[in-house]
Amino acid sequence: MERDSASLRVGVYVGEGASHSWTWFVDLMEKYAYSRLRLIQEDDFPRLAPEQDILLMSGGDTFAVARALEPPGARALEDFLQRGGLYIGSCAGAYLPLNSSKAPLDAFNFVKCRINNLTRDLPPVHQMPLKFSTRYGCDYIYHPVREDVRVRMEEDFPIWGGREVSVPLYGGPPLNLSEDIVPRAFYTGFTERTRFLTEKEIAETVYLGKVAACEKSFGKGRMVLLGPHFEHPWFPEGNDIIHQWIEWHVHPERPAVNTEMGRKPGKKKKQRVRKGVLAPQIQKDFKREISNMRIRAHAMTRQSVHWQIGAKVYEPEKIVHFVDAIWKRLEGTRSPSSGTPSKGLQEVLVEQAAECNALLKSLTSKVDSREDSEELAGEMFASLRALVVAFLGVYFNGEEIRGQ
Amino acid sequence: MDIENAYMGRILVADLNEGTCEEEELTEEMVKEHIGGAVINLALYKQHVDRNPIVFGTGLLTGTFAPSSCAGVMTGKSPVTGRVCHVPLSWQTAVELKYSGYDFVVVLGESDKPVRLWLHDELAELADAGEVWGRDVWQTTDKLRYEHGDDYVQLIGIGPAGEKGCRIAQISEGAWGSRDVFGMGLAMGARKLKAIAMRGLGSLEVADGFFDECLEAQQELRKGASFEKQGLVALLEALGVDAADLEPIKQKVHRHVASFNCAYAANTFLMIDEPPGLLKESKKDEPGLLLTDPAGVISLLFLKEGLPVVLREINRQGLDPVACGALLKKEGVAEAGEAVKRVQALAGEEVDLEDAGVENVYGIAPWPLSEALEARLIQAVSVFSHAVPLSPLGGGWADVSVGENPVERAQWWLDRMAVSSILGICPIAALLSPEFTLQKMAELGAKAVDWDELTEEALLKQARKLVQETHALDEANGTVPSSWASADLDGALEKLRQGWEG
Repeated sequence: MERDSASLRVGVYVGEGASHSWTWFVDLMEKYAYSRLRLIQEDDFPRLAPEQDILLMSGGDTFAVARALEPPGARALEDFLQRGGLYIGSCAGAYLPLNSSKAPLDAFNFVKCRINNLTRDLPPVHQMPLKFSTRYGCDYIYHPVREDVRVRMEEDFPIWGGREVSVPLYGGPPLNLSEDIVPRAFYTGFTERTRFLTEKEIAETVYLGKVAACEKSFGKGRMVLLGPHFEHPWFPEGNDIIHQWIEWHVHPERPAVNTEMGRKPGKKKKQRVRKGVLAPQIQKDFKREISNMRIRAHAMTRQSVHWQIGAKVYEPEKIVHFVDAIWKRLEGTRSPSSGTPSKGLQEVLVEQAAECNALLKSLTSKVDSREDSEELAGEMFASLRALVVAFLGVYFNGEEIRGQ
Repeated sequence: MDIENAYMGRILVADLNEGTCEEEELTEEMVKEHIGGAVINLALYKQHVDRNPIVFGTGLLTGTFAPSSCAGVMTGKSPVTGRVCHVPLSWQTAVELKYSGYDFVVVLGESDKPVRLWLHDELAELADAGEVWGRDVWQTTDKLRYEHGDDYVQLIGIGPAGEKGCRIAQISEGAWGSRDVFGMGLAMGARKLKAIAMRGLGSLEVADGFFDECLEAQQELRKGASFEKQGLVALLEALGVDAADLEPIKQKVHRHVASFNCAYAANTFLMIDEPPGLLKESKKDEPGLLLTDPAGVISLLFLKEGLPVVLREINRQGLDPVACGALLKKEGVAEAGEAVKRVQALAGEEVDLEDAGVENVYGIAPWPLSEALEARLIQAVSVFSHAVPLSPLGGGWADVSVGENPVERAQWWLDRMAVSSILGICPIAALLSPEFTLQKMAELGAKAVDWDELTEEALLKQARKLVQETHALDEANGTVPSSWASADLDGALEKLRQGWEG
């Protein structure tokens, strides 16, 4: 494995089943200047071990991810770990490697650890019923709280040991202690921003004292599982914990990170992102499409609408989120000259944006006229995801645009 | 100076002949020289005067936390009077313009086919307007909002009246008219510019302590007696309109609405096709209308119960309600149905109010309540829209420490309008709040951009220069109507002018 963290080869899974939260990992990697970033899809898994040092698996639809990766994907993941890879999974990325008897999840039985939010009898739901539970055989995986929770890093852990931080929870697991894992953080409480979807007492029983973050070694590699989204960009402490975890994994020989209370989080590194990759006119054309999408998407957030795509519920906010992942990086893409990627490649990007914009416009129209828009929403989100992946590929590496 | 706390730093020059949009930088030097708003508008107007430009601009404080910072200004030569005028923009229009990334927009030349401008996220597009040309203001507003997928898209547009060369065509801010009494709707129509649509998701930087100072100022304003009331009807009562005349409107009041960041809700929504007490969303497309223009309402009061439906049609056709009111009254059309038909017909006529025998229509007529010398003086200068009341609102002159001298009163009004148009303060709020002194406005401006040299004196100097230079352009055009000449007016006007030079 490379020893210089800035030169680590980091893969972020963006394939089937990944929700918008993979962009948070991208943000985090950019923030800490992990410049060798690659967006990984299911068909990249066979080359995982030789090509990546770190794999980041975000939230989404765990079943859909497992279905897309298939058993060969699981074997590729195992090989990756055995050869020294670091897997960091949050939310769905934490559920994925837990033991399961149900296909297709049973191909990913890496960690013998039980979740504490499984029930046969759902308690009454007070708000956000669509976010409250997911069917799991005869049982339900349920989520008594959302938004901010407090977690305390394990006392002896060299990263932020003994310190308590707030991190956001969007359906991630509370894990029971098991000999199979090394617990690194526990759920300790809630905050004013915690949303209780059911009785507070039930939430306390489900989460408090349970494992929020843990790890397990595999050969030379390591698997890190995070219930909450430590990578969320609004939670710099959580971000720093992930960054330091990576550093610690890469440099175990270095003295442990000082975890004294009050110590400032690790320093943000200077960004080293490739910029100026789009020719001026193409950048403008691309910006126009993205701006029109942005306006339309923001407007849609004022409507009460959602779509069930696979096992996940999508709202217009997720469109905004994806579009903003492009928007906030646009200014850095305007090249004074013709740009790095071929002009043809750049034009494809504009065409892809225009197609996505047209789908969004049709979706708006269907929503306005109260027609069934679920299928079109699925198509639009797939197109949008592909567009963001294509753009970020160009933004970070000047890579070829992948097909949808 | 931190210009980024007030401006986006961009001027758009849209050349309708060439079909191009070019950007120029709004520099710190320009702001230091002109401060903002109408003064920069005028500088841009002069710069491009050979192309008969229309300039849309935002004030230094437009879209900030400053109280009533909703305003912008449109500057151009009235095709009706031949005078250069500054039309206030309120509601959300100017805020949206600034947040779309453009502080000023200069429209040059004429297009040979209908076009529209779409401003968003620092991008400007001149697009074909064939789909909305011929449509009324409401249809155009709906269509463009649908096209861009957002009901928050704001528009400056025209209706059929502006397209067909009607001289009393008004620009409309969204669906609800404007304070344009200069026929600038015709100016846009003659250029085949159907609309400027804007959506801004941008933001401004905020200076340390600015928010708290604005909050304090806002709270101070709310202590004023005027703020115990709300709505347009209360403004009309303060102007002395007979309560009995307002009764038909009062019965239809549904709610009051403020413009961006205004402490006083100066706009009133009337229900026409639904009960005014309705507390749920109406199933009708548009069950009422928003009253935004006190002058227009006064001019139409003679229609009594018929006022709302007639004003709705005036708004849809893109006509000036003040002029329509004067004309309908002159023609003796007082029945609602008949008046609606007449309004529809007016949109297709050239309409010359002087030929129609409407007295002083570009002078005193919009404010039939007062023919005081100060009101005539203000309109003789005719730099700002006289659809804005010509006197202090609320407590009247007694509240504003100005004596009975008409020249001083006229100067007070002109100063307030000029400063509002420079900073982007709602002109109604400026007349309503004696507590919101010019000194306070200057302090907020200085605080916003960290510019100590922006004092009350500096602001007043620019304000008077604005009036003087705009007025001088009018004189150069020789457009002061001879009908205004009278001994008292001429003498007072001369004194007023001398004050600007002093």
